[in-house]
Amino acid sequence: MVTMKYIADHINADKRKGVKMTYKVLMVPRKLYICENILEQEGVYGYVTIDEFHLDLVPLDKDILSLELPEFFRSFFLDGDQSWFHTVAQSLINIQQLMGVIPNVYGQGRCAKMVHTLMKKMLSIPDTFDAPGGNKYEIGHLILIDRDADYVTPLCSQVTYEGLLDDTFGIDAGFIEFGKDVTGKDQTIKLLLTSQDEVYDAIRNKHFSTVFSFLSSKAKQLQTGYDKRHALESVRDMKNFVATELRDLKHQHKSLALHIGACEVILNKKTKGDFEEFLRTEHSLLEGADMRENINYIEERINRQYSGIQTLRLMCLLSQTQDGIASREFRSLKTQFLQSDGFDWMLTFFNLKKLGLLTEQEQAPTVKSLSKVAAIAALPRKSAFQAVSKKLNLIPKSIENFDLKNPTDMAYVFSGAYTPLSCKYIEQILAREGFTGLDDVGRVLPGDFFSEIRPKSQKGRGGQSSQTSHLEPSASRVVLVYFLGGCTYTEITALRFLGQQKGYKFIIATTAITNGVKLLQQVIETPS
Amino acid sequence: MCVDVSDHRWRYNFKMALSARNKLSVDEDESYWNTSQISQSTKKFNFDDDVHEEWDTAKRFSKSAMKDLPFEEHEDVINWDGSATSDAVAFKSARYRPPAEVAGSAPTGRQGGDLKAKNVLTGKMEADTRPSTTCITHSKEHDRKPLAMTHSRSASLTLGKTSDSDLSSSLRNHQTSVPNFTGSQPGIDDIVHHKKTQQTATEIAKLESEVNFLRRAHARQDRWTKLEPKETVKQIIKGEIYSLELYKSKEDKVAFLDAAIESHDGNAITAAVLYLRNTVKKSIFNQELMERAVAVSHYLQYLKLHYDFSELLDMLGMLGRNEEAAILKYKQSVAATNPEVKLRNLQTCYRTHFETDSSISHDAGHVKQQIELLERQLPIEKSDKQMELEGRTRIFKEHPRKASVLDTSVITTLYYCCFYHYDLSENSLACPSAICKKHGLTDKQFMWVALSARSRIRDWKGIEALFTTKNWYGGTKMKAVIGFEKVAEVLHKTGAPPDAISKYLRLVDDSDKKLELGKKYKCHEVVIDTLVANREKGELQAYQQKLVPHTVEFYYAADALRNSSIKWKS
Repeated sequence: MVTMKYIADHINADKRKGVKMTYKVLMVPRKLYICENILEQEGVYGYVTIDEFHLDLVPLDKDILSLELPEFFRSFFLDGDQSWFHTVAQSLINIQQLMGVIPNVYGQGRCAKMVHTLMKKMLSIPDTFDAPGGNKYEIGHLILIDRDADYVTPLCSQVTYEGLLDDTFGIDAGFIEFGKDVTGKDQTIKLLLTSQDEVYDAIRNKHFSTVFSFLSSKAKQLQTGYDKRHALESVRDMKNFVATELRDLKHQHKSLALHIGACEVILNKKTKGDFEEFLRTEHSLLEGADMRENINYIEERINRQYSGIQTLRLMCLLSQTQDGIASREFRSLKTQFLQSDGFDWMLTFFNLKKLGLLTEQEQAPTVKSLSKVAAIAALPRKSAFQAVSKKLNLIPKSIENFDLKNPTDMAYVFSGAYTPLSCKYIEQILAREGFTGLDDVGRVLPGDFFSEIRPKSQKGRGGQSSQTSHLEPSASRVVLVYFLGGCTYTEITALRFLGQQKGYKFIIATTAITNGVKLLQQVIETPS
Repeated sequence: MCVDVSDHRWRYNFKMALSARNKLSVDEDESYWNTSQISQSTKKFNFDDDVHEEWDTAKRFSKSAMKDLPFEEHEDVINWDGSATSDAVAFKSARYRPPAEVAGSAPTGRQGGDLKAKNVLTGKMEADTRPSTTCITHSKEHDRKPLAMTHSRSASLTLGKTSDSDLSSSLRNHQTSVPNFTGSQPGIDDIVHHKKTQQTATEIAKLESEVNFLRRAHARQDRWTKLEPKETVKQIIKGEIYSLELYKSKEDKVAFLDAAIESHDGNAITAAVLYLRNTVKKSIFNQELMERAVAVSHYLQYLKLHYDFSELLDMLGMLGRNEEAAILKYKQSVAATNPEVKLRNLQTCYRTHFETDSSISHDAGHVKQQIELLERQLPIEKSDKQMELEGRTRIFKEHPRKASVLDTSVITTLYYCCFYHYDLSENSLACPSAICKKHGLTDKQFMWVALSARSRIRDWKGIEALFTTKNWYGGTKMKAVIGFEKVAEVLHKTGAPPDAISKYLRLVDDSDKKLELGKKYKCHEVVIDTLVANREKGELQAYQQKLVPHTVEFYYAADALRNSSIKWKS
């Protein structure tokens, strides 16, 4: 809207100068009533023609589609603004235009529900949609899931390679920028991270602790590749080698060097700080154990003026896993935080409270009257998160025997300490083809859940793909998961793993790719 | 259904179309042709079913179709076809026939359509006359080539593909809106069928351009008919041109708002809310808005984006969202860059929004603290700046100030004061302990800050004093609330030499920890002593190997190893 005002001012300035021009305004993603209103109010409507540029999903990789709209999260979940729904619904329609109408739809949360309704409404408008070939479809299931169904997962530190890259350097629309510390050269290098980079594809989903050994073996492998040149006998061989292998080797060599550099930087950063303790605190928060210690750790971080946003992330995690922080602790932590990082953070605290990310527990009058000891004794009451976590078996029983190298469970993405709630939930929905038996989980999570399943008898397999080739998973095993409000690389990794394990092909669509810090940055409010 | 009757009806419809041709858009004629041909060739004109299926769309267009027949042009009709006179008259009366009569012969569904159409006619008379102007200009062209116009099969086919389904259905609607008519005129359709093969490319092109023109005209005409709120919302969703002007009654406006909310399209909701705001008085607007939470949030969002803060504050107040209002006011207050202005703003904000509301007393405390902090920082900054400029005070010379203390947090201010004003008496503004008292800081908060500040300034005595507590007997005891291992860590981080660290490292109870930290911070004596205490000869020997020969610690380790009084393990 401010932009509109600028445009209007610009035109008015031109007019005063006597410049006669017509203007074209390109509105992304579409023209809004309020924007046109401003142009009208400023008296410049007559000079402009308005065009729209629709935003659609951007394929970031072969299985990731993103709208790249990080502001979606704040706009809906904080401000209740539904203006972006249109874009999301339209993107779903566009997919279905290409792939056929998706027969089975499951949704969790308010936003999912509304997007689904809007999508259906838009589908019903004549001329906006013609489905390719009746009942055919190439995607069998659509799962819409609201970010607020699972805040815990993005709030945790990521420990997969891809996740760590995002946490440490920040991946922007699939691109990462490596600075001097990684490349060892003066200029920075911008790298596109996709599955086309062979080395990256192999390590992106790995737990960080196993990446190094892989890279070193890869390096040896490359060396033998290079060594082949000594064994070349004829000119023909030589030509072959130079033409095909060398190029490939060079390429891999380059990316290998970069990834090793990146690993080193990550390792350095993590060992310098108190990452270990941070992780330990996270894990015990997830388990709901050692609360006193956790709070002390948070307090220490505040007092020492460590990175405010990371500390805030821990506080949110504490609040999420405990249904809010007990009043006394909440107030003391908040005051100390404000004293350390400035009172302006009050604005952010308010937003977090509004979102339900960081809340103060309602003081029950009965608890108040009891002594402090009794209040603590009353605490072990299970929080919503703990209930869900138990029900879905999110926390593996023994961390010790967890094989991070050859994982057998999705929990490996968090060092075997925790399975992402969202992913586990998706697994369960797919296994049960709906919410039967999941009612008590769905009820605890915010918003409604719904499913719309086309009766089985009508199920037309996507073309004849299931008969012609057995390698391609049939349409009913293809699942489109749409995260409304963003998803993390860790979740993507977990879903990829789930897909391999259970024979699904997941396509992940999201409004943006996020992580704990990005999520909070959306909500942080600074005095303008 | 009887084929005969339907045929009659069809003929009638055709005739109607012809008779009304001058007023109707050609476009509609075309589509009419299209539909009638299709229905003839495919089925035996299952008219009623058709109507039922298309009822929804038909309903909407009954209005636009009706008003395409302005009264002034009935003369034309008579000229064209003698019997049409009665048709036209009857038609006119058919429109005004009481619904009960209509129901007698028409399928029940149509009745509503007639009623609707009538409502529009009576309600919007002035609107009816307007569109005829466009039609009249057009009718001239009609006169030049009377029949050929409507008979293009190929043209109608292309049309069928490209034309709005809106238009074709509007024509079908002609069939429904004038239902109980059975005047038959044989022969016309024969002529029509006969001629339809004669078409040239130019004619088609002409027709097409005409169609386009009329389609635009049609869109313009929509403006004068009140659409169902749902339809308007659909137009908004599709990004078409729409008009809200015809929603005059409050009920209509509210219905439109509800339709927008139901659609979940934010843009439509905002449009509906703003339209409501601009057209009804404030009290009604507020009342309707309050009943719809979604509308409220969109309105608030709009105000926020519009920087209309006074209205936003009013709204929040009305909604009883005091905390949000207070926070908003606070946000505005702290936006000031000049500290003095900021202080004044905060004071007003505190008085008006925070002081009185007990539900946000916790945050009120914070605002108060911020005010007090600013009140403290201002004079400190002033005098320190002066001192720095004069350059007579040693500490400012040795450690020039990196930044102003203004607008920093409590802890940073405390650090600043611990750094520059550690020894001031308690009644001075810049005294650290006075700050602690005022802001209710905990011992831990103070300890962390004081420790790192004094360590930076190499004030080892001051640090020692921090941990020294006197007990009852006058003896002294070392104690640190944050634990000595953390003390050592802070000292190390602030660049203290190993000797200074060692002193406190020795006070760590856990010997394993002591060993680990000692190695990390290179406090060799502590490591050696610990190893001796643990009687670990092997480890000590290994450690000695790592030390640089001929240094103090090397000899210290050698001494310990040579000491015969130590009973080594195994």
